[in-house]
Amino acid sequence: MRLACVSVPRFALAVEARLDPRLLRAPAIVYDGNRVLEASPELTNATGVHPGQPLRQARAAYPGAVCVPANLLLYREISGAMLQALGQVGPQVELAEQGRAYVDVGGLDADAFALAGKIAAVVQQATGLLPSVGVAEGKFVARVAAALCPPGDAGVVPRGRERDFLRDKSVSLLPAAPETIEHLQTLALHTLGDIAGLPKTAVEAQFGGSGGRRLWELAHGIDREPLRPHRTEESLRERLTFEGPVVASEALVMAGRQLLRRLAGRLGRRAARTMHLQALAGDRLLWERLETFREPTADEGRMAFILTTRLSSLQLTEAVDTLAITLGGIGREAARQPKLIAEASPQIASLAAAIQQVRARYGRPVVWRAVEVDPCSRHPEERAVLIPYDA
Amino acid sequence: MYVELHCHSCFSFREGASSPAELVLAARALGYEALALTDHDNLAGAMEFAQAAKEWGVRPIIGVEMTLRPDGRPSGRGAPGSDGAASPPTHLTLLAETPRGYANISRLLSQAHLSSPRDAPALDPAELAPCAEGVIALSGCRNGEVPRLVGAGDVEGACEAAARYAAIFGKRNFYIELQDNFVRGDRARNRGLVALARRLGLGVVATNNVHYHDRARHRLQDVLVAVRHHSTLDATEHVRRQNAEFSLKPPAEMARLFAELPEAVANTRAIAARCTFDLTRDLTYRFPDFRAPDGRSADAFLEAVCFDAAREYYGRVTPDLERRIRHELELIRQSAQAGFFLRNWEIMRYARTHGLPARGRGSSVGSLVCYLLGLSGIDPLKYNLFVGRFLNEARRKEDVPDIDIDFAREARERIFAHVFATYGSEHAALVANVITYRYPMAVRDVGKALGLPEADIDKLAKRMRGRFARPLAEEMRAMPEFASRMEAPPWREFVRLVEELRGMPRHLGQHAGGIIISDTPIVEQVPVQPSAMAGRYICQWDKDSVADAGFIKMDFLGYPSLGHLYRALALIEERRGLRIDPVRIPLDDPEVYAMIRRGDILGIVQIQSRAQLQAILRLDIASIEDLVVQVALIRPGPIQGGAVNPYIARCQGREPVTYDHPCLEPILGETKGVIIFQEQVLEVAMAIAGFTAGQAESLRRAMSRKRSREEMEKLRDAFFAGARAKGLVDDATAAVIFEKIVAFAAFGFPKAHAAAMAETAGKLAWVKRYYPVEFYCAWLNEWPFGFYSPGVIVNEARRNGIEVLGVDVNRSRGLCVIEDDAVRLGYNYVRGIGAQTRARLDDEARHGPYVSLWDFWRRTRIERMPIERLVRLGALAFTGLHERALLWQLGLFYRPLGAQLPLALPYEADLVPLTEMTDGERLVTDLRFIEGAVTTRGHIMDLARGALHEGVTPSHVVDRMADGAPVTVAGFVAVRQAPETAKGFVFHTLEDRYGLINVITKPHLVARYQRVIEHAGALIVHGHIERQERVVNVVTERMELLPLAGTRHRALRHAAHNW
Amino acid sequence: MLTTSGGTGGPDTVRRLNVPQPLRVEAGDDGTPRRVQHRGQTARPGRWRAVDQVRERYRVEDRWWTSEPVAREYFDLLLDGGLPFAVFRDRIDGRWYAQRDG
Repeated sequence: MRLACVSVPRFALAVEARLDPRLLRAPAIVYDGNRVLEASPELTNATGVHPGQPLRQARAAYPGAVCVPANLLLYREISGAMLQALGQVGPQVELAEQGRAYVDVGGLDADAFALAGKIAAVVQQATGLLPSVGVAEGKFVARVAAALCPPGDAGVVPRGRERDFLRDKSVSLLPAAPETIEHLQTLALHTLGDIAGLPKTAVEAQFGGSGGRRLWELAHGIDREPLRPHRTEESLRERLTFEGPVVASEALVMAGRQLLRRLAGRLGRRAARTMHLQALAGDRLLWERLETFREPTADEGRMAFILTTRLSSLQLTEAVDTLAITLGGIGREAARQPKLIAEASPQIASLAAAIQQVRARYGRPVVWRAVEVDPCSRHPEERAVLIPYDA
Repeated sequence: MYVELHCHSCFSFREGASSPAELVLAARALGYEALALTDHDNLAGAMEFAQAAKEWGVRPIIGVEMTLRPDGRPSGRGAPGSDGAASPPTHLTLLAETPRGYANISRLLSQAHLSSPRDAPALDPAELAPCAEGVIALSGCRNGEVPRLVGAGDVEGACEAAARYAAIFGKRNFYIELQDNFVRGDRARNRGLVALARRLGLGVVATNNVHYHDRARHRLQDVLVAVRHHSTLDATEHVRRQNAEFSLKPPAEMARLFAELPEAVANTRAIAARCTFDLTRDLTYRFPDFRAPDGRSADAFLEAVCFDAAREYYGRVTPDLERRIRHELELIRQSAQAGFFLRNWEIMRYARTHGLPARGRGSSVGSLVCYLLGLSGIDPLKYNLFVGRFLNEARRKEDVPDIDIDFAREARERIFAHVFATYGSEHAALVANVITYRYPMAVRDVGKALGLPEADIDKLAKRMRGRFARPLAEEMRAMPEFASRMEAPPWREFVRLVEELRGMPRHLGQHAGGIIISDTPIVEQVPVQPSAMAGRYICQWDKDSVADAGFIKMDFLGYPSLGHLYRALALIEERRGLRIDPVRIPLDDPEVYAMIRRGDILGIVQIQSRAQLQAILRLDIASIEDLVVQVALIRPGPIQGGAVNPYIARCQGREPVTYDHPCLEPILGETKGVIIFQEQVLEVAMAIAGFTAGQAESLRRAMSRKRSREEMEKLRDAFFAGARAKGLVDDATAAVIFEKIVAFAAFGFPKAHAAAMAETAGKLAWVKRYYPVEFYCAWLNEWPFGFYSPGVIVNEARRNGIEVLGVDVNRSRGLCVIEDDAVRLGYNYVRGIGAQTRARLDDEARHGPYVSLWDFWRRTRIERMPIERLVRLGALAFTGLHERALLWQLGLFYRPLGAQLPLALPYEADLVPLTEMTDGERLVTDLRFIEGAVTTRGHIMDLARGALHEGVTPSHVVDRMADGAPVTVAGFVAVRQAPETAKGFVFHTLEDRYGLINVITKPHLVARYQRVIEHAGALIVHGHIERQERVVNVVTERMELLPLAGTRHRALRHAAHNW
Repeated sequence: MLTTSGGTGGPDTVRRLNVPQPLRVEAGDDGTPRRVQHRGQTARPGRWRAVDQVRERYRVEDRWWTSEPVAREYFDLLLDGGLPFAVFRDRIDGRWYAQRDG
């Protein structure tokens, strides 16, 4: 089926360059933790710096490079915006990775180049980044077409011409492990045409049945991988900030429990599939973790249990001032099995109702709960915290 | 007046923040009359502390804070904010009252270290009782068993524990320690402790648990605690100290703090008065005396051994020979060190009988007795060596002659094993080496503790690693991204803390080769702990503390060149059945010296450096004596001191050979009137000023150290007085001679040591002249050592007509082997093939040659990566298939280990035609997978064919060009040198297909071509010739990168320079 | 008596407890408090109360590597009439604060 591949080359670097234009001129590296996430072209060609490489090695290869920490939250938001924009172009959109998406343009009859221009304009208007667009049969060929043309340009491969288009293209474009690509180059199989020229059975014998077949087919431009549309689902997000930065994990667990209680309230009878925990210092993401439940659940107790085990085993080396929890993959209303034994005793229920009314009356939290957080701290003001009491 | 009895120095590794010297100076300034040092579980700083204290008039008290294993009793949880990690083991402070007490403490520490994991020593409390005599114990800081129980409110448990300790040490020797560092809970605990002491009738004593000499140093102490927990300051709040009160406080302030308990302060002085042990005087060390098998005294036995050896070496004992032997024996008898000589004799006999290559070094080689005992292997009479430097009448009894012995690398390990086997851990220990913080590690540790961004810290640490790194603040100001941030709080602290941390000890490592042996148990002189190597033990003192303590240290050093010689002799015997005794190798063969004069000396470590080569080409070396001068003279010291040119000028007759006085002629004759050897300095001083050997030696030693002005005046006056008394020379000549002595004394080389090195060089030269194949094969197997990479040596071998063949699975072995007049590279030169794989391949090779790749894989079953590398290096060329076809074949049938046995399925159907590797690709593969830039399929410069235009002059033509002629040369960078002594010059040795070219780059050009110099694997240099007789250098005017096809320069430079 | 940080703070802030409150203290020459102006529940300036006993005196020093270093000297006091009261002198700005020992 006919696809358009929309990709912003070196996405992380492009985003950072918008914030700090200096990165456009100097050779730059975007790093996450101690690994390279993205590096500017003159680095990857001359000194062999490549994504995934330990940062220390990359710096040794090119001491002059400017190093910028990755801002994962921002990239996720911009990719989301790109997705939203592409939704207007075609019914089915798949976000393959940060900064690269596929749109099914089979049904649209418009001329391919006009279509690509429209897609590029839509994405630039939504994200401020100029993508390059490749239109072809199948994801792989579309991706290669997009990769080979500069931002704002488009590459169209007419149906049936895929093999000729790929004949002189480098094997490094293949979606395969670096060792496999290096092995191919060691065997002097530098272009996709070289592979396509070999008998199918020999390639399968050399690279293992399924792997070999896929390599051979891709070399011929055959890519039967379906488009997995990105189902937009609703997600709920709550966050708590601490007045004084906190290191003790007990404080995080307390705050986390509180957030879960508030989220459970908003969930009502619907179930969530994922829970995304994030600890931040200012706007810098210190730690994050995505938990996927075995089956969609609305049970606050289960979520709290998972949250407690994750947070209490956390060894923070830097103070945290904000904790955020996002429940994702929230489905439709589901039948809810009431608990056999009514847990909440009448007094708690009536207390909760009373607090609800007081809060409604004043419009801000009035009832707080004092919770001991770091009893051994040498600063008395950090031993306990006040958390707004929500029924 | 108050005395501090609980104080930690930086030798409480990653806990104490001040050096012993800083603590002593602070104590003196505050008016302390005595100070105790109680580091955690070691006495590493004790001797340094004792020496500093005595020098500054503070009485040192030696002690330790001992960690005790919990004896099964459930100890209460540490009081909140307790001292350091609230670890279950408890602490106890021990002070040495008498020499017996010190020996007990040292033994307890040794037992603690030997019975627990390496970095967590803890003593079993049951072992305290037998070693309690002469020890005063204090109940310890917050982590002590008694204070912790009182803090937790378990008064009964505390009383029981206190009673137990009182029983062990005696009521008079066990005090309850009170500490008030303004930490929450201190006062309450002290009230409990005082009540307990009253109840049990024990004395109380006040201490301040000092961790730094000055309040400001508490910040470094916090950082050290964070480093110890591998975490940041933010995350270690609970384990860091509560405040900055753990400093050495003025006695008056401590008295005020314990105003309501005057007896606690009085007791500190009482205890200090009782501790009379003096570490610098009361050690009971005795070197093991030698008990001769037939009961004779050591001296008599030594004399017998010497004269037997004299008859064996010289045939008959001439009166002159006997006089010299008796003279040396008399000196040895006076300083009662016959036992020491005989112990060394025993060790060398073991080495000889077990075929371990060994040779004496240092000034001991000048002694005839050492030669007769087989310690040195160098005949002092032959080289007219003077013994005064090593043995003279002025030597104080404890002034120890140091006998150093060189061993081949493996031999050294076996000698250590032998020594520990004969003396055991009770009587022998290795000397420690205190590893201290250097800039890179200090930057990383402080940076991590302060939680600074890792990328910046990594960049700074790399920048500070360079040899020319300026102080940290200067380097940071020179870097734009740091200059602006220097004033922000975390970075300001960072710079100050890194400077403070630099030089502080990190941990105890092992000294290069020092070992001490004692008759009385070593563990009673200095605590001993297990070393990284099993079965070996390290004493906690480094070589300076050992020397101050008067222990006799024997140095067994690794000397790879010796290994090279013995490997060559073994190859000669194995290949030609010719057994050559290393001692009998002739050193007067004119053919060998002709070879040396030609400059064909690559591979002979002692004389192969660039400066040596250039001097050899200007001198006429014709005898071993000339070689001795060459080894002694061509070194950074003499070159920089300007001693080389006068000697060379006089050798070439450009300058007349003159002496300041006829009586110097016999002394300086062999060095053409120029003072070169340290012995000559002594002999000249004795001849001119009538000094005795001892006085002359103290004169030389005084001058070799940077003495202050007035001390030099004192020496000058003594010299002049002696000269006037002797009356041989007038004051003017004496002054000239004195200046010469001062100039050369600083870097003079002991002739004895030079003779030992020259003999090894001479023997290696003989082997290189007559058995070159064995010479090169042995060199390759002994590498890594020496100045040049294997690639340079292999090309040198080829220029001498000896081929070095690539790896071949049917011919190669684990090590390089000789294959009819050629050297076959071994698996030790293939990157990524470990010792286990090498052994596996050696075993399998015995079962006959391989017939195919399949056969090779099925029989060896080694990993895929090594097989692929061997294939790509052409090691399976015998199959007739080219590398890529074999790789494809391997992909078809390779199954990882453990997979089900492969069936020999026909795979011919799946073979495909692949293009063969070009020569250039094969060369690049060699560079990538063979160690040390060795290429067996062509020369590196073949890769530069395209880039070279005709203007480039090859090396053999350059050697004949005239001085000043313009020239362009190109070559692979074999060596790149920028010695500090060269004041900014950079020396390159380029190698092209025909030989080596020496290039000199002046400082101002170095700055302009900084990146090229740092990253280039190959260079094109435009410049002019600078010639001095046969010595030719190219002086750089312009320099550019020489691109080599298919290689990234960083990888190439790495290949060439990673030895 | 809970002394909160006073700020109203929206529904998603976690507020600190036992925040130090400024206080006027007369101290003896050795630095220990003699009289304390105790405000009690009401807002108007309270009356001076004498200090019966200093139960505990300790110092805390931390966060010297940040822009807000902490250096305090704490006193656990017993006021006349047996009322326990915790105060500390901030050794950086020299002022006195009361802080309920949570």
